[in-house]
Amino acid sequence: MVETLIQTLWQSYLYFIERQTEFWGAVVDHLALAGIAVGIAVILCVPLGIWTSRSRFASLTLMNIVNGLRVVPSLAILFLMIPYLGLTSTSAIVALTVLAMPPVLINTDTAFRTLEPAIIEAARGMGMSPIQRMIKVEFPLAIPVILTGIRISAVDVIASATLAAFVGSGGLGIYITRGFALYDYSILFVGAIPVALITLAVEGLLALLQKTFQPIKL
Amino acid sequence: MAGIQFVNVSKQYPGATAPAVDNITLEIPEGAMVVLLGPSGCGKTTLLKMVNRLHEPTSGIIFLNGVDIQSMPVNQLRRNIGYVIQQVGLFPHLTIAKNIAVVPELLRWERQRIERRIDELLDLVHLPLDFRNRYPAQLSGGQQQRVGLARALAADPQVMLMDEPFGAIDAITRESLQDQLLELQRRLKKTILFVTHDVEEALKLADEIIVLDKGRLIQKDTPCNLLANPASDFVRQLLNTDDRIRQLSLVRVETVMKSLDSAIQPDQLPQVPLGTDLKRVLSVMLSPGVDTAVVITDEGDPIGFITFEEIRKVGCLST
Repeated sequence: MVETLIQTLWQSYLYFIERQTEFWGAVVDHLALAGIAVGIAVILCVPLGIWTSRSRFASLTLMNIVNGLRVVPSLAILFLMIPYLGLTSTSAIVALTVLAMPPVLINTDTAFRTLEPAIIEAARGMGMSPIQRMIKVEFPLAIPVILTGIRISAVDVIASATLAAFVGSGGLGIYITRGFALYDYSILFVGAIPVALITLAVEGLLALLQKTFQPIKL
Repeated sequence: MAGIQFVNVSKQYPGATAPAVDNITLEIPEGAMVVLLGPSGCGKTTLLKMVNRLHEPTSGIIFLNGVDIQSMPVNQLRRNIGYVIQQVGLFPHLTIAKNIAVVPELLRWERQRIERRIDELLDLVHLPLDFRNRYPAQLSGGQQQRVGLARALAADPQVMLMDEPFGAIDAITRESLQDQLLELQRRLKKTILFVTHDVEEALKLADEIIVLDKGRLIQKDTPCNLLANPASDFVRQLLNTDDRIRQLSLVRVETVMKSLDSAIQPDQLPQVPLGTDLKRVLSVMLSPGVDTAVVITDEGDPIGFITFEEIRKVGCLST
């Protein structure tokens, strides 16, 4: 059993050595797909989360829509996009963005909703305008919680970006689909193992970033 | 006219049956520490927060140094009023120095002037200078409120609003903070509006106490007169005017002392510093042959005198 595994991994290694150029291209594609999806999610959901934290209407509608989308599997969204956007990376990015949005939105909303009222009152009482309050107080205090959301979303998206290979958009998913088609585990591992490693690395990096923003607590 | 004036000020919260503040007219003289006292829900905090417009009155006008507060930009008004709250509300992501610098920065002071001011203020509230680079969470509750006080004083506002600032602090630290506030006030002479529900704190700190109940002004008087002549059963019960020795311990000597005159020879009499309570003055007078004491300043100069008569007035009239 162990022997077969080691043998398969050796095969994977040889496969990887043979196709360095293709492999690194796939890594770049993979990171680009995930990065764009998370980036769009952050650009959309941080402002939306600030809005939902302040408006009952926004929170009721937006939160429900986004949470509703969350239960639709990414693979299904990907296939649903094909008739409209074709077999393109746009389809993949849409599917991944939908996946990336909920954690960012929910965490931004929570971050601003749970700011300590006394701190906000002090800021108002000292004569900060709403914009000064946002820049100097509210946003810096919300960052750690928002970053947690981005972290959750990034991990989900990097793992799921393997789906992009189904619509021919590259990424490390190509080895998984190829391995699946040829029923060859050694090829599948060339995709699966780097995805796992990248996920861990990004998770660690974001955790570190989050730590630098965390206000000191004793 | 300096100080704060309320003219027919009322506040009705939407949906509430009774007004939170009911047609209050009163004047806070410049340089005085005036305490708003009353049970929770009496409207004292609402009244205070109308001064820096965190609440807006339903009707009536508030004047600050003779100017209608509605006539100036709200943030400019607030930057000129020191504001201290019970939960302190320091910004946890900023150092102590940055916290203190907030209002001077809003007012666009020069960097050097701000840095100098931070040192001055830490000194003023008796915190070591190396606290500059600490974060609020590294300080005890009492130390945090000292920073809160320093932050409120940063731009040297003439008016301070203090909303139960020592309410969440343990009894021993609270007393030392109260003493320090009195000491500061003797030097700085700010116009302070101070909210509390703690009777002893009110009697100890106030030049004048305003008793509120259900949004209405019940009585406005010096601590001494309030104890001597409570206007109603409500005030009598609130102040618990039966325990005379306790009352004496709550009244500061400067609120009843008389000005020096030529009949008084300061060097032959026992001395008590400003801020001493009447219970301690009484114990000085229990020595044989002493019925007068000289009140001295922090620097040791005689400033007034007190006789047994003044103590008796506070202790006796209140029954």
